[in-house]
Amino acid sequence: MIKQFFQSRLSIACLVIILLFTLAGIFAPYIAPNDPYETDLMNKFSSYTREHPLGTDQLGRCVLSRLIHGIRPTLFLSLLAMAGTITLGLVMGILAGYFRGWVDEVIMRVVDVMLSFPSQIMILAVVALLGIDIRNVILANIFVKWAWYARMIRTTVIQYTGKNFVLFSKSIGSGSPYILTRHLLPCIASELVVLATLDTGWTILNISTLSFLGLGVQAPTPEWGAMLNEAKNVVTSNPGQMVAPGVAIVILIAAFNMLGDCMRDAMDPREVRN
Amino acid sequence: MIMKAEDIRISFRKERQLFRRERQEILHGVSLNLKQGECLGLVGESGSGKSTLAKVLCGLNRPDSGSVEIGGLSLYGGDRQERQSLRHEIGIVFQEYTSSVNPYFHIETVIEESLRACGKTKKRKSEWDDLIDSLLTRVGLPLSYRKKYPHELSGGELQRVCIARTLALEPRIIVFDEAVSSLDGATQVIVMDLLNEIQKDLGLSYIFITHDLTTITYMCDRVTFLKDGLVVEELENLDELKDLKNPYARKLIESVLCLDA
Ligand SMILES: Nc1ncnc2c1ncn2[C@@H]1O[C@H](COP(=O)(O)OP(=O)(O)O)[C@@H](O)[C@H]1O
Ligand SMILES: [Mg+2]
Repeated sequence: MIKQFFQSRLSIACLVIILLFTLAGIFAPYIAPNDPYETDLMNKFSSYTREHPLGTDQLGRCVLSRLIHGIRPTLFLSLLAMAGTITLGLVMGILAGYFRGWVDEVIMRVVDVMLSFPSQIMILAVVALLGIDIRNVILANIFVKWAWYARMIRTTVIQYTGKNFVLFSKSIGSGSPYILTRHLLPCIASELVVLATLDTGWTILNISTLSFLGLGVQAPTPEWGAMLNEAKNVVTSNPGQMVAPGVAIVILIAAFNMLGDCMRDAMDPREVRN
Repeated sequence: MIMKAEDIRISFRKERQLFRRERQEILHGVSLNLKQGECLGLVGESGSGKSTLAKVLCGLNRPDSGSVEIGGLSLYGGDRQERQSLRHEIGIVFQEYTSSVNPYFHIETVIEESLRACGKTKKRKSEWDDLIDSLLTRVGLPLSYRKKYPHELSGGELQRVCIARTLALEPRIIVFDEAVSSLDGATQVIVMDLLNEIQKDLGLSYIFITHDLTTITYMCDRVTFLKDGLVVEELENLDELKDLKNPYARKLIESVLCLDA
């Protein structure tokens, strides 16, 4: 499975891109050439120079440095949101799919309700309700997304609990903890990882969008969506300001989406196993 | 009498209809007796409830009514301790070998699960290793298969793994639910020879489910015919195959004899 995955050049390229972004985010203070908050009004909208490789913005701040520092909120916050979504979805999905009965009924009805709201509007509503703060944006994301995961995981769990190897496990009395962790989790994981990778792109976009709308990460903090928001104000005079954060978002999201596709190809047991 | 199933009835919910939840009875009071060391054949066309009965006998499906006793203890009785202790007395081997084994497990992990489940305390890792080795040898697989994945094995080999993991329980009874039906002719005979040998060596009792009468003559001492969830004929002796009373059973037999001729 893993071998299969590493045989594809595209998947390695995506992985490398994501890894580079992650490392750059972690070591941002050491890599960034300048302080991302340091303003220099005499030197605003400067073009690409040795000192400011990607130029400066409307306050004379180094765009590259802001871009690199922006990885932290952009990437790590979406990963955090994803982790929360998956955990909640996994617990709910497994409870519903494995134990069935009234547990299933209750959880699935809640899921149905959640899924019948348009997700973007739900997020806006939750943020409006809880107040404008990045923590609330993450909570809203988890709140909106977990139902999708719960439903997907429940279906997978039901599908696998009917399989003979789980039946055998039950017949010899292996116990639920063993069946859940050793049999079901690996089977779910392969499908989950694909979905989660594809969705990480979506979450990045979402958090950036909310920041762009001024609901997420707030102004001086360098976040790609927030940077785009600031650039928007000067879009008529200096449209070039949009380029750097825009391209960065596109590359990162494309990398996640393509990685997800490659994983789907590599992880499908039927694909590998014949 | 090692196992006694009495008047087993089981029903499943029909496909849900608007406002109505009807149940459909699949087994209408089936009784079985299994003697120590014998191989009881269970024949019936597909859909007659053979697999359902097999699951009931293995403790996987609680019947609506009726009882299953193994060595005098009740499989669906009130006593939890009693139920647990019977878990390892009876093992099952399924027809579809591909879905019988977790595709993410090594062959050794598959067998390890049985060892773990029947409470073989892991004193030393090497003790389990030895057990796994001897089980693989027992079913005629090379020890190098320990680190293989299920998809790397052929159907016959995978079915042997399933037999090995069932033997790991050290059961007294094994239920084979069409265990050889999906194998090709030559492999069928080889696996059945292996089963006969194991039965003789370990003194096991088998319930051998099939819809194929030729395998019956190869394996079984007694035959029970199942049709639409009812026992329609019981043969104490395979010689009686020629003069069956029940028309359904006779038709089954005749179809096979025609093929033989
Ligand atoms: N879990 C279940 N829910 C509903 N119906 C079932 C279930 N299991 C089996 N049945 C029904 O019981 C009947 C007998 O099935 P089965 O025992 O698999 O037959 P056999 O193994 O003899 O081919 C079939 O008609 C099948 O549709
Ligand atoms: Mg069947």
